[in-house]
Amino acid sequence: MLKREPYRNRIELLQGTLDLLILQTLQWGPQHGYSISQAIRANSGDVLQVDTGSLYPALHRLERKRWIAAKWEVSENRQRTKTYRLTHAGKKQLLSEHSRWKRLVEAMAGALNPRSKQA
Amino acid sequence: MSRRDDDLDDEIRQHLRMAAEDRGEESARREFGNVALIKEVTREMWGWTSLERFAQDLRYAFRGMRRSPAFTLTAVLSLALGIGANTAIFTLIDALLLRSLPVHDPQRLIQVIIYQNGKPSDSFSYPVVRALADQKELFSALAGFSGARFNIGSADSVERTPGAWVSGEYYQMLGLQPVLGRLIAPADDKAGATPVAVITDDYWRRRFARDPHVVGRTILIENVPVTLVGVSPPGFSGANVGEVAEITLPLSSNTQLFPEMTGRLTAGPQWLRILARPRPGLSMCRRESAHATPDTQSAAHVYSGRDTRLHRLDPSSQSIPAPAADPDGVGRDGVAHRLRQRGESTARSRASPAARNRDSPSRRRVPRTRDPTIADRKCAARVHRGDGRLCFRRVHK
Repeated sequence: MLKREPYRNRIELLQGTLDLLILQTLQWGPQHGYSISQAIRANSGDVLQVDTGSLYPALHRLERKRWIAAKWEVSENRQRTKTYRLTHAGKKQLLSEHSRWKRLVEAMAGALNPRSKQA
Repeated sequence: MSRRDDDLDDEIRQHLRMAAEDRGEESARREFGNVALIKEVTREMWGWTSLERFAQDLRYAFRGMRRSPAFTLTAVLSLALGIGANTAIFTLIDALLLRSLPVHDPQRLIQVIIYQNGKPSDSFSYPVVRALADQKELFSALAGFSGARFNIGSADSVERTPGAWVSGEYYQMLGLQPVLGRLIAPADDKAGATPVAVITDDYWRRRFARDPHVVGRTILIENVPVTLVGVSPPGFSGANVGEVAEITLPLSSNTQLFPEMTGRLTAGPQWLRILARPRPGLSMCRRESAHATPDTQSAAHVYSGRDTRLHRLDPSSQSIPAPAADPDGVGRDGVAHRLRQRGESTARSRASPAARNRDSPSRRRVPRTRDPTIADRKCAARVHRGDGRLCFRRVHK
């Protein structure tokens, strides 16, 4: 069987942060895939543009890990829409990812700017 | 397309719809990227794609095969032939070599073969079977049989059933015990005996639903009423390997069932196979003393039992003593001589001492051959010149 890995590298690059961003975005309530990407973009001041090719795989992966749950609804113009919400396990994961991110930021800052730490 | 794929389609459509509302369809599509690729990457997250991909490969393979039917046909045919031939060969090997007849002590069963004009034959006439069966000092039991098909039932529902004609000693020779009633006995195989039949356990189950009252029932075989006397044990379906015989009748019943074919029971037609149990201690190659059997096969023969030979009876042969000058008998029968010439001397020397020990003058009344190859199992393959020579072949090696 062929091993295909077109997008994987990019996903893996983003993986840690993208998961965190998605979980963080869902903290304020259930959302669609599209609105998640819009929220991330808006909240980051248009700096972070989440590629759909990364977003949907990430959403499905998180769903499989049961950190988020999906629900199908029929909208008023009778179209099926899928919304994601944070699960209990997802909330725990969000907390641990938060602290991990904080450690990473501090470590990065220390590594990039050793003098400021000494000061 | 699975339900999950539909969901993913809907989800992506939803995304595009929402994006189009914000920025217009064109830019939404551009921004979204390669839909098929994204779907595929997303699908990979479901975790069961290796199986799904295998199914895809399978479908692809079938499409490919449909595109080139000639190749497909060749491949399928050669595979079918290969597998089929192997299965067939194994079935045969299994039946011939690996399975034993489900009878008592099958290793001790032998088949009797006769060499006539140098050619082996396993067919004998009914009188010869009778005569050989009487050689009680050689065979503890000996029986002849032949596969046959019988029309069973009344005129409006005749069923052609595979069966066998057997001589009276058949079941006794095989050492089988009935599960019900009794089996065919020598008394059933006498001229004028009432026709009786024995059915297999399998036939009893299929046709009579294991009815315990089947014994004594009369059925029509070839429009002649025949009494069922018993059921043979489970697993046994005839002594011919690979050939089922569901119902057996004594050979003498030929007279009642086929009045026009009583010639079958005369010395002419040779149509019966013979299986026998040699007396314990009778080796495959004892070669002394002679027994005259009555006028039986094609001409009169002297059955030289221990020698396992049949000699054409000519008036002088019984009185010819083995020449004293040639104790090994080589001169009398060219077989051993020719074998030696072909470099078979080892076989001869192997059999010599034992034979010499038994060389008492009183037994020297018949011509003896030094044909040691009869001693071994390959006799059927090696000895091909003696005329009217009886050989034994082990049923199970």
